[in-house]
Amino acid sequence: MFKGDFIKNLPKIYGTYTGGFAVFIILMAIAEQAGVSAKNIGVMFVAFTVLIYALIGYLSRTIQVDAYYVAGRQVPTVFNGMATAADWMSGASFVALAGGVYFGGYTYMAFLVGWTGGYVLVATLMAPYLRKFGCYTVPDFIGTRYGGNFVRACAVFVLFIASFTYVTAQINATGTIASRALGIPFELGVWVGLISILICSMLGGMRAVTWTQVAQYIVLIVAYLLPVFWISSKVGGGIFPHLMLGDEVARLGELEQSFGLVKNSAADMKAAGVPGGLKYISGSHSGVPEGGMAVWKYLSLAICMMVGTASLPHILMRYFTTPTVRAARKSVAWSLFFIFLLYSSAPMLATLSKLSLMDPNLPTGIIGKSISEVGVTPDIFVEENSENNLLSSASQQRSFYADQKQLIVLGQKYAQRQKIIKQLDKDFSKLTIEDKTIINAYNLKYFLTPAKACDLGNKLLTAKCIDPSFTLLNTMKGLSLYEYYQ
Amino acid sequence: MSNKDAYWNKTKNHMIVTLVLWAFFSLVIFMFGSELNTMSFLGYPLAYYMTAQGSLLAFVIMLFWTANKQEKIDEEHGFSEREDD
Repeated sequence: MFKGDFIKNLPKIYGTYTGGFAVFIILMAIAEQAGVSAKNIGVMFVAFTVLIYALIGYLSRTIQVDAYYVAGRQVPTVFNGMATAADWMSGASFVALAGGVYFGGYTYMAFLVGWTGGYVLVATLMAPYLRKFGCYTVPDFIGTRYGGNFVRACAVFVLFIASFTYVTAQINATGTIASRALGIPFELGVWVGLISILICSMLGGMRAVTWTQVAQYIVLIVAYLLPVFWISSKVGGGIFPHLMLGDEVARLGELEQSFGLVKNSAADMKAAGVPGGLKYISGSHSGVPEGGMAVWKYLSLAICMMVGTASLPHILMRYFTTPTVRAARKSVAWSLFFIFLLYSSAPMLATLSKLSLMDPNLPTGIIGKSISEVGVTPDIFVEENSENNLLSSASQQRSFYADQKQLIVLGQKYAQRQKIIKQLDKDFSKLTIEDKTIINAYNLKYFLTPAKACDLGNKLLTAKCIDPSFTLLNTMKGLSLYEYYQ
Repeated sequence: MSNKDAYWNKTKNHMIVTLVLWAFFSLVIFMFGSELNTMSFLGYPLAYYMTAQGSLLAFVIMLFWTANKQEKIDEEHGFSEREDD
């Protein structure tokens, strides 16, 4: 089937691989229908990919310097683009980007511009010159170009700092993914991830890493784009969300206004003392914040990301592996194209997620609806409170909080909980608003752990319904306190 | 002017043009974010569209264009590597 030169057969090989991957996904779907647990499917997915990568790593084993460090300088442009894209889009892009846009809206999207614009700098200022010198590493290039071991040492130092920072974040993400997919503790997940990387890269060096990364790109782009298109057609965003979500983005802005989410931002937030990360819930999705400082924040973030992109060793390394300088240039363009496919989808995914939470016409759109409409009412409300008159009488409230006490006793770990229990013993009316919100949060934790439609929306909504005097801000404050004490 | 100098001049100018375009799409337009957002494209608020897709797409197109143009400059001055691929 694959006669002749390996490089010439690449499209065939990866075509077969993609087909195999599709078959594997279908098998997993059948397994899921047949009742195999999500955990086992996760394990099989991880095992499949690690095995494939390990196999590629083993087949690519080499002891030649050229093959080990620069993949023999024979990687075709398109495949090098895929490998670079897969190298580039790992922890931050694949795991965090859509979530970041979801929370941060426009202000966060400086990352999108920064992480793609940097490639223009790579293409014009770095890649062709790196390739032209024909070295093996970036410090090698710097040392040859500017002369002397001192500059070379400086380059090593700079790259060391850049890599170390980067790898720290990557390993964190690796651990998170491994622990989620395999259902193991984070610390163990880090080791599993690192061992997989070692298996895949030790024997074959750059050659192994290149061919595994191409394989990985195919997996990651399918895994990312498929849900985006799927969700989009499900929630009525159109088959091709990138071109068709415009009106929905505009409508999100209106919905934010009508739910009072944006109104609560900035000054209100500060006055209410809403801590750190949660303030983003009320950030605008597409609105541009006013003022020179906001513009400066956006631009400086973008600039940092662009310059940072052009200095990352694992990206620059890729352009040593092309056959020619010309190929290096082309290959940067292909890299960015493959990155673009995922990056342009991340804000669409964020938009669709926000939409599914806020759109009143969707069953998952629960913000602004009453508990009975949402249909995820914790049993206690149904039993003890009439729908329209939640906790109206003092006795209802007392019995409600007594239940909370039980719950808190069940899970008590921290001094704060003890304090609340003590206060509950005295008189619940003496509880501060913070204590009450914490109780609410505990309540949410116990009732809504297997969160249905959308975790956050449920939390906000339920907390609001427990005590009508709680504003959105108070509820958010309670949630963040809860996260803090957890 | 020797062929080498002429080649380098062209390459340099081409690089400058690319960097100017880059600065426009990555920095300049976002200086006017709130003004741009009052306009719309495909229904998206314009500044949102640019940061979500527009600038990204511009970078991709720009890189293919840059690579092709540089190849032409290479060929013109006899530095082409076409046969090495």
